[in-house]
Amino acid sequence: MAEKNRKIEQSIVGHKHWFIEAIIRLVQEKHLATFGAIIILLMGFVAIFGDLIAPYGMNETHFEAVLQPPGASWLLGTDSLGRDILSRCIIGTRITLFVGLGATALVAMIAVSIGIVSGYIGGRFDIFLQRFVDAWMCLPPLIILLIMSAILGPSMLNAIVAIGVLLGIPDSRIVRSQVLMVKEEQYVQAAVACGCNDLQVIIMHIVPNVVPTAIIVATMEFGYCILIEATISFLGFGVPPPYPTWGGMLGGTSLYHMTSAPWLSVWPGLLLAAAVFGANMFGDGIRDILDPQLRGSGSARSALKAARIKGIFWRLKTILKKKEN
Amino acid sequence: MRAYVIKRLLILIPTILILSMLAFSIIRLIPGSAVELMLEEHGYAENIAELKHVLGLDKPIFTQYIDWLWRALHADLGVSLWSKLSIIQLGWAAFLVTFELSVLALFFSIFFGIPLGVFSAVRQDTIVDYLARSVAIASLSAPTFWLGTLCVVFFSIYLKWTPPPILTSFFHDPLTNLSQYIIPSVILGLVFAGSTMRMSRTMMLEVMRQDYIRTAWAKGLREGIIVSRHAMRNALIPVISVIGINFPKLLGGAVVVESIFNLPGIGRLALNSLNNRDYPLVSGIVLFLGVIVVFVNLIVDISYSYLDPKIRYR
Repeated sequence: MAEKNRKIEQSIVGHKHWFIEAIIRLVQEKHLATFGAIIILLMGFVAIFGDLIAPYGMNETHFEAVLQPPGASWLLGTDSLGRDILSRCIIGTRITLFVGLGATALVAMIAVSIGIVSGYIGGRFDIFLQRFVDAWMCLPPLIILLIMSAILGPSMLNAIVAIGVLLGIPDSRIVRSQVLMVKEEQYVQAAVACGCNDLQVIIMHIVPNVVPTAIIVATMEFGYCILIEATISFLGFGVPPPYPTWGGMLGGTSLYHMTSAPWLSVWPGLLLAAAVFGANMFGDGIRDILDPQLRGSGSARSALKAARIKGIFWRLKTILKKKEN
Repeated sequence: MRAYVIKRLLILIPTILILSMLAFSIIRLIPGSAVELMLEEHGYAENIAELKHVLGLDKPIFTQYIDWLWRALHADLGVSLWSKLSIIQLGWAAFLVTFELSVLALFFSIFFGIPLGVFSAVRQDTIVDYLARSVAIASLSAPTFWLGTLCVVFFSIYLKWTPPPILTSFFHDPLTNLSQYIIPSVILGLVFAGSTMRMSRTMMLEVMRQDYIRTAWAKGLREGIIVSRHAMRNALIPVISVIGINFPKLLGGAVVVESIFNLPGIGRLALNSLNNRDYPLVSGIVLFLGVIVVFVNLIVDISYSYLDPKIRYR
């Protein structure tokens, strides 16, 4: 009896127009998450058009104006080499978002691959792989990251790889538990009974079910990736000197100058806090929406709205096609 | 209960073995260019062949690993290249500092985060709730190194305070010792205070909706008794597991706080040894911290199963 009445809530991924529906629900219901998304989008805008917005070059030194307080010509002040802090912060947005997004994508890819392989194959291979993941989770994260940066060498790509590998392996557990659930479903067993080989089953059934989990993992780790990239830049590892990073601007020799020029310590950290805040809020909101949904009028209404918007696009497309003909 | 403990201990052994392999492989993974760098910058040996012999890279890898593991089991992790001191000695002295820092940070995050989270849940959607949630989210997002830097900069400007160069031992003079640790541990604990607060608020909200709480209200019990005697016990169990999961992050995050506040902890030791390319010491520190985290996780798991009967009887 309990089996019959049990409602298994599915994620909205897989519904028609789920992407648009997710965005509509985010804007309608989760205001803090929308605010976070706007912050990230704004930073993305600054990152792309940074060269046009920044008043000075990122490494343009002005030795006559060293350690100037915020003022008319230097909106956020200058540092010990006379470089404009505002311009460096603006170009630094590019590094932060690039490494953050790149590392997050790598985290999702690694988590999904290891999770699917481990969960699908199962047996002793799975047990051994999970012990490896256990051991990896026990390693001190920051120290391992510094070691990987020291071994791989300082470069942006190496930073992305190091952060991605470090955070991706523990997250494979989340994906693996989802894969284990999907493996027991009847349609998967039916596919196997029909004679599908492993690859077909994985591509047809497991990957689509793992996509919402992967999205949730990615949005969860985005804020942490940004934070950890800034931390290793602060400590002197990570993205090397020509590019200004927010973490690097706070670290290195700046500490010595900061006691006489406190404005050096404020702005990069504030921008970092705002970025991480935005990423975390957005991630929370998306996670609430993409996780198994509670049935309610909210979801039905937004599904209808999504269908309407999609319908408008479709009609526009047909009109344009007719005009071409 | 006993079966659960035995099962957990058995799982421990392969985990520690794999951990030792990972820590050991750090030395093996150094690229040749970095070995040359060690020779040029620090002159740890006469030539590359001798340096490889000192690092133990010239023997077959399996022999190396067994030798290293055997010595490690006898508490001999080798000697640091930079300071020629025993790694265990260096590591233990530094670990005590980091341990005190982490424990104080944990205390701060528990005593600050849990009451705030519980109060915020009980007074949901009031001004206090919104304020508390904002503070929690802000402390989650602000980078530790930024807060530490701001602290040092503004305290030195306005309060004429700088991080003390020498630490007094706890057994020597507890009060001075605590006063030296308090600011770094608050900064370190702030992030975890935020996440503990959010976690306990979520769990408290879930528990307060349960039927047995409604029965308690119906019986006419006071709010204080309901919250403390009925709700909190069940709500805080997952919080303990979150604390256990956060402990390795605490140990790792101490690197930043220690380098800003000049504490001779194991994080700063690892940083300095990386800058000195002292890879045997780095490898030893990783193994040391890894084993400690494994045992902390074991203790957390066992206490979790003790507190939550549903797990005990699985």
